[in-house]
Amino acid sequence: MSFSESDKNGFSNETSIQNDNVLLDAIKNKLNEVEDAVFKNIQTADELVTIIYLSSLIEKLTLHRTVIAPLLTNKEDLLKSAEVPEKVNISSILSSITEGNTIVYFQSKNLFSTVNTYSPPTSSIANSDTESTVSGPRDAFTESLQTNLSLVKRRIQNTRLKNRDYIIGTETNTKVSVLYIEKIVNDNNLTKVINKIEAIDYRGFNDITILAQLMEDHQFSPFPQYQVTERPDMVTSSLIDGRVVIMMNNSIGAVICPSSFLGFFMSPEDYYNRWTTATLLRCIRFFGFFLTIMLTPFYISALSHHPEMLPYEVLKSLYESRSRVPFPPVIEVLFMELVIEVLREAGSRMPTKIGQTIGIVGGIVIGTAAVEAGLVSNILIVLVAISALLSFLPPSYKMSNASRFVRYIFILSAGFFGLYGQMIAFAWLIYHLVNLTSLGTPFMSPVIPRKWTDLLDSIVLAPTSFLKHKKGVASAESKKVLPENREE
Amino acid sequence: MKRFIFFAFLISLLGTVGCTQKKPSSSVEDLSMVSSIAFDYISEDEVRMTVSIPQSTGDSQEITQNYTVNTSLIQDGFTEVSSQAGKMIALSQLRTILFSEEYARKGDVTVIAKHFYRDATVGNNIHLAVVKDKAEDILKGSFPNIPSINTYLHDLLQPKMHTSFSPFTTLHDFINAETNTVSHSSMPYLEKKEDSIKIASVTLFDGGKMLETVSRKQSSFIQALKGLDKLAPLDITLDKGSDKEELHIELIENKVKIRSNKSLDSPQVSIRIKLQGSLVEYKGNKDLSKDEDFAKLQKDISKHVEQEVKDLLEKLRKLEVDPVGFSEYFRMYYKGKWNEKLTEKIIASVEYNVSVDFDLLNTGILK
Amino acid sequence: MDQNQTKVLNGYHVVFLVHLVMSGNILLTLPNLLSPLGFSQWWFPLLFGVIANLLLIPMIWIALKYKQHNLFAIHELLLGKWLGRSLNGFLILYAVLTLASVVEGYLDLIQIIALPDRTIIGPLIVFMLLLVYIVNGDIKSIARFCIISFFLVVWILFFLKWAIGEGDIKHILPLFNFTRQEFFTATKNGFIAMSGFEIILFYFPYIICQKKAFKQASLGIWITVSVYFVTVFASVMYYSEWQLENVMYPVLYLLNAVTLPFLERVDVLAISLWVFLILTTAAAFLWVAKKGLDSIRDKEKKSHLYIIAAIVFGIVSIPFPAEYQKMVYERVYYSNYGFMIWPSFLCIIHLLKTKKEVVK
Repeated sequence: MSFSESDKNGFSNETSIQNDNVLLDAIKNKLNEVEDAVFKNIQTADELVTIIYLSSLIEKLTLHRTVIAPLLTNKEDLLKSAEVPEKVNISSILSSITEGNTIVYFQSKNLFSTVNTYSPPTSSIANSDTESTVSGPRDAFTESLQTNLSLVKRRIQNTRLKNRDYIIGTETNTKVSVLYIEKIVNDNNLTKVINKIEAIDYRGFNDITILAQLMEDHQFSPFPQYQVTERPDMVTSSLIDGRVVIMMNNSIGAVICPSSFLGFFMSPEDYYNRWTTATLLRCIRFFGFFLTIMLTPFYISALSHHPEMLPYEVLKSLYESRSRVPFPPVIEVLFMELVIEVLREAGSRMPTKIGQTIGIVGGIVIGTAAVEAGLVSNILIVLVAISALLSFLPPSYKMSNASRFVRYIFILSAGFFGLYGQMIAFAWLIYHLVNLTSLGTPFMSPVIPRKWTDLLDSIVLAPTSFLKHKKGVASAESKKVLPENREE
Repeated sequence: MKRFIFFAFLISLLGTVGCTQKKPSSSVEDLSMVSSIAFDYISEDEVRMTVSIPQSTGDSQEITQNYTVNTSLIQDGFTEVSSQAGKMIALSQLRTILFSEEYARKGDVTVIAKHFYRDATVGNNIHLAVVKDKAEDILKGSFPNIPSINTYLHDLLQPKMHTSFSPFTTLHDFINAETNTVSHSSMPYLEKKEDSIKIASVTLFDGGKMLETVSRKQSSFIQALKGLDKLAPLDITLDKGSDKEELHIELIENKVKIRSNKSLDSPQVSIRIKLQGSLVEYKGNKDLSKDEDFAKLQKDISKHVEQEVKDLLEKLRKLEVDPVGFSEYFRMYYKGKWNEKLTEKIIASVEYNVSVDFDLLNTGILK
Repeated sequence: MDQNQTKVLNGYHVVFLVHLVMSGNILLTLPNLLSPLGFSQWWFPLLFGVIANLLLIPMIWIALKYKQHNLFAIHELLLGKWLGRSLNGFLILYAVLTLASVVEGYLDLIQIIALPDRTIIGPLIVFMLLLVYIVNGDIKSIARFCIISFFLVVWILFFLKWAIGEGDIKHILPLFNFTRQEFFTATKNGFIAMSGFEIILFYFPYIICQKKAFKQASLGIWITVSVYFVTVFASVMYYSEWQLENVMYPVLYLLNAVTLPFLERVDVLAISLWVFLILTTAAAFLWVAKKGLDSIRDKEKKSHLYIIAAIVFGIVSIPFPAEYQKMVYERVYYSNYGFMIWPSFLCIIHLLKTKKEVVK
């Protein structure tokens, strides 16, 4: 893309080979003002060798071990290990340099060869922050695509696991890798993913979530339509379900396509737990999602529109706790929800230690003071706290954010029309969810099952020996099943 | 552009709606939630209505507010109360409606019941009761042991084991019994004691007017005949001249089978009651560890209960009411429209064959 | 967007479309509509089910003859362009009026029970917006919504347990205690509850497996019938005959009998949740009206949907005199019966026409 210009400048293959110094000069010219570009002439025993590399991507030690030392001692070895590009032109050399390779130019032989010396400082494999689990593997993806690929390939030792690389981002030239298992993946899905990636026209990618959003079918929806995970075990299980996984360099997430709504409520830990525990937890997470968007709106409708709904005892305590509050319930709830939102945001922006303090200040001081000042009722404080906690239940942070937003729709509709408004909003939510698609697959599967066996691994998780079937969400190819898995 | 116009239209529409809508005023704190209402008799077309509104402790020190108005139309009364209370009166939390005995005898309870039945904001599970003397006094009275009269009345009229002789008439029950052609309704009858209120007996109604009260025991048998499975504890005194026996039986399970001979000309109803209960207290000469004595006691009780049921049925016949609805057993097989006349005919001419079978399950854990 | 003439509806879609388009707000009043029969009404839903199933036969038969066409197109094919189109005009009017009556009936109820101190306009606006949003998808999204709605609402039936517990089973006897006059009045009033399955004539071209459609539609009808049956049965047990006649919305009062420790009035919750049933019914009729306008104007346009929605909005929100409105809606009910029988005539016309062609 950006290199194509240089082609136009007249450096075709033939000319460059004929006139190498011109090419070298051209490279120098292109890398002008790239301060970390290093051109180094090394005098070996018999000739002058020029090496070119970007020092920011390459560790000195690696460079020395793989290039300089062999160059000085055993040149033949280096030539064997180095790749000699078939076509030498300025764009391929430049892209090779930006990828972190070292170009070794033998002036006498007039030969360009590239040595892979890419060794940027990487963060080591650490535990996942946002998707931590108690049991199960702890490793999580890092910012390095190489490492991430190795984490997956370590788990699926099968040549049918393919990864196709693409470069996206007109300015950043970010590398993405599309992973799938051949013969299990649905080719339709694969083509759709590839088409979408190829069609992307966007300037830069800092994180894979941007890519996920660009690939969505319904971009106006408040819901995330692709699951982004940083857990290799999650990626592995999705791959063997026949889904396509996209990974990106410099991004700790991997996008799973297609995803289902219920998938956002499943944690890989479920499968490591007993099925009874997992079922219980999944129920809590799933119904917790609906509860968190319904709880405070229900408070509003009960108090401002349908006081007859509550039993006398409940109403009495509500009535008493609200007796000093001067606002209507909607304002009260909005105020309190926004306070929680502010606390949450403030807590997440602050350094960890201060963040904890904010939690205590917010929870105890503001809460109690607000009740004593007569700004809100203490029952509402409890409800808001519960719904805030419930909103953190989905293992996916994206879904928990979605629930936060959707809750305001419910609060407003409950404020206007009470339970009726709430149900209208609920109908909207349900209709919206039912008609969302993720890569063309209905988002609500397996709540509406694509296959009956999906129900064994939905809100209820059947014991593990029942889970032999692939999930229907990816409409995986069903012809080729287990026995072929061990070809090799 | 089209989209823009559409959204502009939408937003303006929402805006106008949002602005023209009057402020939602049905919020709890703007309402006076009536919890109990009492009706007293003044004259044929005027009624004295007392409304009891529990107050939140934050608002004032008084726990309940009471307003009394004399009115001919109920809704007028509420308007009047609203103007006194300063807040709008809401009936959505109404729990209890009390009628004074005088009103129940002279006025028409059905008119008031139907008024509330029609109102969609009033639930159908509110309880009705008749009060001895003035109903107003119950709501206005101060009982040292009762902190909130409304909660107390609500709890008192909830079905419970030891008071299950009472019919616990809800609004629906009353309307249902009054409007169907086969049975008559009944209501608990409250009496104000020194510092408490108790369900003293049960009143029978016919056509919205109170007729007579029946004792707790008799009412318990009425409930048994209606098919209630768990009866209230029963005290029985077997008095046969020389040896007097007193019993207290609890946890009575009841199974009743009623059959009619389907004939309107010579109606007959056979009633078989099977009771099971545990004997909790016994005062008498029998040695209950002996099988024959125990069997004899069972037989005596059965006979005694049988006689009481017969007496009850005779009393009901004299009053010309049928709270059980025996006529239903004839209506089931009658082709055509059933009407009150047929029910009256049945009540007057029906012949009851009662058989009671009382099983004592145990005599407690002590021998 | 509408994918014209592509087959999108599978068996489950058909079953629940048929079922949920049928059960709208009529269910709330059904025991009251059948009250001329007194207690004997409890088995009438079964009778209605049989009749509806019989009426379904000619519908499916004629639809199978014209697999690629909906009723609007069939009319034009069978009756010629002008007659067919004017008839289609009536059909649109019918759909619009039915829609209006369904929406108005429900919103009136909302106003009585859930939002007593409000005007109808606000709830109507949000309802219509959501309705337009729903119908903006194709028939498949409506069908999907139907399936979910069924499972979201069906558990309300559980609350009938209380009413059945308090009721008296003896009411179900005698079985045939009504005169012929009463029978006809009740059937005339009550059979409207079965309306809605005839919409299958419009979405029939979209069904994947058209051969099985009859079975699936019948299943849908019988799900409706069983829901009706349970409710009517519970009402008969719970109410006296006077109550059946005089309580306008018997189902609400049935739910009123529920006592839960944390929720006093289930009826308010239920009537709000009912919006799902109303939405599905209304969405189907709006979709039909939109399709009709498409076919008359020979082009598919989103604006047709908005026009019809606006008309319905107007009809519901403009306060016509009550008697006038009642009269119009009653006419709509009767035209509904006509519409249910109409496919039989279409079958005859079809037979005559094909015979003629054979003779030629």
